[in-house]
Amino acid sequence: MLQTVLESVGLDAKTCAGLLGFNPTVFAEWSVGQRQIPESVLPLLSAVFSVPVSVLRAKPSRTINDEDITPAIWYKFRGPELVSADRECVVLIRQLGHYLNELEAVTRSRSVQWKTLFESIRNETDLQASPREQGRAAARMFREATSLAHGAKGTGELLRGVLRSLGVLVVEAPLKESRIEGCSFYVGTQAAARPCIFANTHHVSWFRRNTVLMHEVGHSIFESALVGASLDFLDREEVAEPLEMRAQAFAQECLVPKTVLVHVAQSHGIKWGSLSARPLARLMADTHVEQRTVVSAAVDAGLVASEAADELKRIDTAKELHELSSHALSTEEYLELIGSENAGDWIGKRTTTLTPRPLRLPVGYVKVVVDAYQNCQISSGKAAEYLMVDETEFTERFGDIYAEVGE
Amino acid sequence: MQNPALLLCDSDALTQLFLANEVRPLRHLKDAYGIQPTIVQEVDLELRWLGKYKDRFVPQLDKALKSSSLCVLDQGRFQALVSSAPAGASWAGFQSLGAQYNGHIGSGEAYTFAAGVTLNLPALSNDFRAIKTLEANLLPLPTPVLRSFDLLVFCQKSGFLDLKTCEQVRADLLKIGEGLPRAFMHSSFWDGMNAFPSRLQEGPLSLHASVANYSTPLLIAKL
Repeated sequence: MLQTVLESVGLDAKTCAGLLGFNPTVFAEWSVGQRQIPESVLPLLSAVFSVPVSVLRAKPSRTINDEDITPAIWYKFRGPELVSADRECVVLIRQLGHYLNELEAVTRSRSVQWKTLFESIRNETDLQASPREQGRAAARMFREATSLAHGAKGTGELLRGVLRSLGVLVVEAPLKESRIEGCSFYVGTQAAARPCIFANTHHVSWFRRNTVLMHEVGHSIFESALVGASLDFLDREEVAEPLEMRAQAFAQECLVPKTVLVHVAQSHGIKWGSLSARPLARLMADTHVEQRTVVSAAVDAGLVASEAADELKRIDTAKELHELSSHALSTEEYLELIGSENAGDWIGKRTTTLTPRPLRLPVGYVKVVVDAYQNCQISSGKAAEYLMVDETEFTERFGDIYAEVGE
Repeated sequence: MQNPALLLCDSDALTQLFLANEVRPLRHLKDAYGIQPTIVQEVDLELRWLGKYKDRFVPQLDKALKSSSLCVLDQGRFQALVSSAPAGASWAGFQSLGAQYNGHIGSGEAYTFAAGVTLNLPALSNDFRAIKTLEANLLPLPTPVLRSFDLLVFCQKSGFLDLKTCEQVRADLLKIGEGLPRAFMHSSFWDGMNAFPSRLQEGPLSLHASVANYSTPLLIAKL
């Protein structure tokens, strides 16, 4: 049945074998039923392709309809706007999700706080209200339930940690062939599912990405589990679809509620009636969101007239933002700022090298793997597998805790 | 007591023998001692696609399997060993233990060690880090766990391999950056042998199960 599953996914056996680290010939033999899939491999394939183990064990059958086994997520990812790179990236991310579940089982650190939080937000949101009001109400609940509401200041530096502590997998990586700006879907088998949000970092600023991530969280709370996946594209204009309006309102209210805008403006003596490049850049630097979202939030909060919004969104703030926020610096500029001695911890240590498509792994995930290794909970070979690098490369990156006691 | 029926071999130890193109020790164990070198399905899978080496070892693996220098521990072969295994041994138990080990270490060594523990058979693995990880997590290990150099030293001492061959294996592995036991890192094979506490020896079996651990020497006798 694996062949039917692969066809439903829209990827061939050779590509999948490369992504998952199997011999292409062996994988092809599995897919056509010429070789039995080992029991130990079934959980990974099940988690990656989102099909039950029983389907993978079943013999190929002409009576089974493709539509009966195609998982919802793959309906989305084989759409006409998507390319192979998108599907390959999803395979790698779903593999990452499986690894994270394994790792959390071994380290006994599984967090499922997202479940109760998402459920209570869904239950308490008036689904008869306008989509934007639903999004804003959900955001207020989300902020209150997490540390995002503390201090009336920008939360861009906190939100990844908050999401991770809830149990959400956050992946930010460059995907230059893709038109996807962000997406959300669930990873792991049904019994161990968790939300995953992805943001494409290719030509997308950190400020914009914060909005993208929270937009995807909005989708994840309300509908990703039901529709398989939510996708947002780079050249997307302001959309009038209810689900997008709700997700965008959620992101905006989470990141720049009125209290934060007012506090930042007061702290810097910013006059809302005479916004120019520098105060606008200051608002962006301190709220941690892009210009478009700051202006929209200011309009929604009644701080700026709606007629002025388009003009404010067109002001060029690049130079001022570059001066005001280290998040606007390029990687090279940032490294120069912090000094090479402080850069060594993570630079160049997060990218997979055994996969045909390099994937930049989340800092939090890499840290969990390295901590588990340093606590002797997993071997260097296992840690290397989780980081999708060779074992030698792993010990070069993170050291060998057994170097002194080797045989 | 009899020689063990199987020696469960892990990828990294076999990799060294393949890299040095020296698999005769496996054949020797089988022919002279009746010990069948065996791999679990996960090792078979790893050797067919192994990190930076990709599919390099497939021809050597297939040749070894075809000549029965190696065989795969499938469910049928496993069942044939259950009668001589500790009480309660089962394929399902082996798979479950392998999955548990696999949470801590790579799948090849996880299922190799799980098979060794379930069937009370020795293993062959160079993965010291995997052994220490399982120890740290209070998980049992096969007794003993041999290293590829235990096989080479054994074969040299028993006269099956000449010293020149063993020196060449050491030199080849060192040249390509393979990890060697400390005793052989800066010494010739001959000098290293004297400082290397070999875990495979010829002689009457006198091992007491209750005190044996992964480094307790395995004594085997010629057929």
